[in-house]
Amino acid sequence: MARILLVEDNEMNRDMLSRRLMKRSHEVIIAVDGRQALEMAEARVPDVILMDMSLPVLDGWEATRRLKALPATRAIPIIALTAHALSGEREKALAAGCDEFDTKPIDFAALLSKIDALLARRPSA
Amino acid sequence: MRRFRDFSIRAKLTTIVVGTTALVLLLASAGFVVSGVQNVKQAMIRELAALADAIGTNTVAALVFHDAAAARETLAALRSQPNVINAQVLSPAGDVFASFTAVETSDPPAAVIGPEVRHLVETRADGTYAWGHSLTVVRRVRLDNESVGFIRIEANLDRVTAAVRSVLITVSAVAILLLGVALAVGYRLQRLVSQPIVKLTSTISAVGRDKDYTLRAEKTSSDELGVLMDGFNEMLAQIQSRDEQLARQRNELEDLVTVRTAELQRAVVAAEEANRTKTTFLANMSHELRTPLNAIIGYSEMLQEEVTEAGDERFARDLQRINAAGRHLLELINAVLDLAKIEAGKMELHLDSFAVATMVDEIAAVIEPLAHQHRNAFHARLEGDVGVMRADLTKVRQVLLNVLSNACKFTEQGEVALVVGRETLEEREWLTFQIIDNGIGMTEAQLGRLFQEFAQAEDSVAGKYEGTGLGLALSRKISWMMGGDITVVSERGRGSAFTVRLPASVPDQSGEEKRDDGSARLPGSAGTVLVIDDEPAARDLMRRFLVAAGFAVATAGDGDEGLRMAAEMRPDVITLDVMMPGRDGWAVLAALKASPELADIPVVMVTVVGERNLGFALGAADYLTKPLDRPRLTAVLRKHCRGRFRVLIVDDDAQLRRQIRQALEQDGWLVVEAANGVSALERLREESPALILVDLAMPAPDGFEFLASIHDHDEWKRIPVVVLTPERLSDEERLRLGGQVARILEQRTFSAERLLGEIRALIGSPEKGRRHG
Repeated sequence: MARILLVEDNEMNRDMLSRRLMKRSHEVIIAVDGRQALEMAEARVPDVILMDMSLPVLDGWEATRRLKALPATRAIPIIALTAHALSGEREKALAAGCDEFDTKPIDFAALLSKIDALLARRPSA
Repeated sequence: MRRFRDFSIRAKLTTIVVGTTALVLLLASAGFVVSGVQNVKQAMIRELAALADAIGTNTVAALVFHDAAAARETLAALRSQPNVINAQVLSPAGDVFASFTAVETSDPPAAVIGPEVRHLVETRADGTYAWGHSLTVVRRVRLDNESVGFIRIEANLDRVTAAVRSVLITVSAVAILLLGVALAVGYRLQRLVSQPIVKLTSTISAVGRDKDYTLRAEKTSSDELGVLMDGFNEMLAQIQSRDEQLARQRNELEDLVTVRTAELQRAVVAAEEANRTKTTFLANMSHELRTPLNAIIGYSEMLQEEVTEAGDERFARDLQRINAAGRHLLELINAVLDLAKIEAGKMELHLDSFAVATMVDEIAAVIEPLAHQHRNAFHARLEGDVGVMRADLTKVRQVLLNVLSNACKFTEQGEVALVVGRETLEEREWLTFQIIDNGIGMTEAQLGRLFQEFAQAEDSVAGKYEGTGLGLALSRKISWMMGGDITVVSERGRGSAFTVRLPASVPDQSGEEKRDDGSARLPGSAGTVLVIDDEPAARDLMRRFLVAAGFAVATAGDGDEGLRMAAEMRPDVITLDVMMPGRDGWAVLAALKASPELADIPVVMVTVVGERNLGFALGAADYLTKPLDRPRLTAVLRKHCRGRFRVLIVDDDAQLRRQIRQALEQDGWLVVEAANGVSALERLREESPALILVDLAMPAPDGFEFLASIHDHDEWKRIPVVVLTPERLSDEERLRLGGQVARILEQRTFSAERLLGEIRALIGSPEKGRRHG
């Protein structure tokens, strides 16, 4: 199963999502803000990053841009999670370098299939 | 001849003056003539009477003595009177006693001594006269108041005639003179009246012609004409003042309009500002609401799973309710947000071409379980070939799912059908989606409120059937946005039939540029893409999407232009359409691969044609089929753009590999590692790098052998190679390396600076490279 970096500042959402992912035998590592996300991504090299876009310290947009600029982390697929359903968010997320996009509240089944799709697309490394 | 009433005033007045004068003169002249003639006659009568009396006195004796000769002698004295024609002395009985005629031969006419003389004789009247062509005077001859006879004298009227003539001449002369004077005076006087009128009429004509209400009639008198002028001038003054008033009001109105327009513009700006604020507020609100909802839905779902696994069904139903309530709330928020977006004009359409049948299949898969919940039979039917539609797939799906889920909700143990057809109306292609059920249906009143926000069929219904009350309002507005509509017919207790009608090709929202997103990466930083496609719409779509994804995009409309542009700009990657007029995609691909300068640019074939193997055989780097999957397109293009800056490190020393990798990656290069020649060849087969770094000192196959094997490969032998060696190479070794090695770095200790400098000198820097290919 995959190693998933979950970047989420809301404690409840973090708890809920990580427990549900772990139940499906994924390894979940946690970051609570953008800066931590960068550190964790470099240190642990996850297979997928679930990135909340509104984060303290360093927001998801900036964190994503930095991750995609770093050679060590740029290949890691990032799924943007945003509570904003305004049009343009999706394009904005993709433009920032995210590979996928989902709005909160999360449809868990759909999220799982997106994770699977991204993992399958990954070059055999 | 013109009638008198049509004469000009001038002619009329002159005619009147002259006519009146002439009439008066005529009458006066006639009077003069008559009275003149009368006077002459009276004088003549008196003269003749005196003459007769004188003769009578002289003939008394002759009469008394019957001496006719003496009487004739006395009568003869009349010869001196030129007017006397004849004269007689009559006996008292009236018989002629003596006679005289001016002309000898003529006899006294018997008639002269006719009845009138006889009457005189009988009545013994004294002095009586008679008229005819001549003037006759009869006088009695007396002796001691006894009539002894009569004297009769007849005279011609020559004197009267002469008198009449002379009077006529005089009067006529005077009359003509007077008439002349009258004409002159009359002409002068009529001008007093006619002149002002003529002037007035010319003023009226001028006003009428020039519409110049400042003109005034010139007043010359205070009579009725003066009053008329005053009246006319007063009227002009009023018109003028009204004109000025109107002009003033018009100006004021224009000023007012200008002011109002400015106010409106301010109001519009304020409203737009308010709208932006509202949208931002809604976005934030939506975020605030979604975060806790996320937890509610997620935890309840998780708990449901857990209790099910634990076999504890006691809480399952309650948890299901919490979850359903959470989802319902989410639907509400989404609907409110969508409606707000539509109102704020922020709703955007993402147009794509898609097969209608495929979409219907997907919808059927979602709706079927919903239909079964209420024990309904559901079937979807396509009428004829419904083909492809160009619209916002997500929104079409949203509308159809909304109407269909309503149909399922309001029908129990019945049937719900989706019938899809394609038709041409008013020269446009339409897709019609009919959603027919035999559920509870609606009354007229309910139908009227159906598409209103927050208006559900009725409270009792709302209590039983959960729903947002916003779905249909939203669905209709979305349909409107795409140029379509939703209509409905329904009968209470019998069922409803909704028709969603949408254009087969939804027009682009022109003039609506995508908002520039400041947070997006720099334009073109993802790489440069050359899009070769003959279809302008496809080019435009591709350009917009790729620019949004951070690529710099150039487009070419045909193969020749594409080849020319490829040579000029050396893009990171080319997307190539197969079906093009003239030089088709395959020909262009072959030409690209045949050119030494362009052969290494990866080409991604984009087409509806499914000839994948031919594409790869001709050297295509990737193959995408239309309609395009956007994330896939981006991923593919990113991969190839990165490939342009990929460096392959072939070294058995892991420590050194990591050092080089770090240095290169910091400079923006994408690094691929291989620990030996065999795995290096594998990496090469996966993807060609822009540069190969080789450590010559490796276990078998060593660097020399590796280089020899890539030299045999057509595609690889063009890749520049940098050789790393800790020792100085002998001449023989240099010879073995051949021409492919571009640089030889002899170094005992690794210097990242130097390495990067060499690489940049060879193939440029990644940043530079991205711009110039």
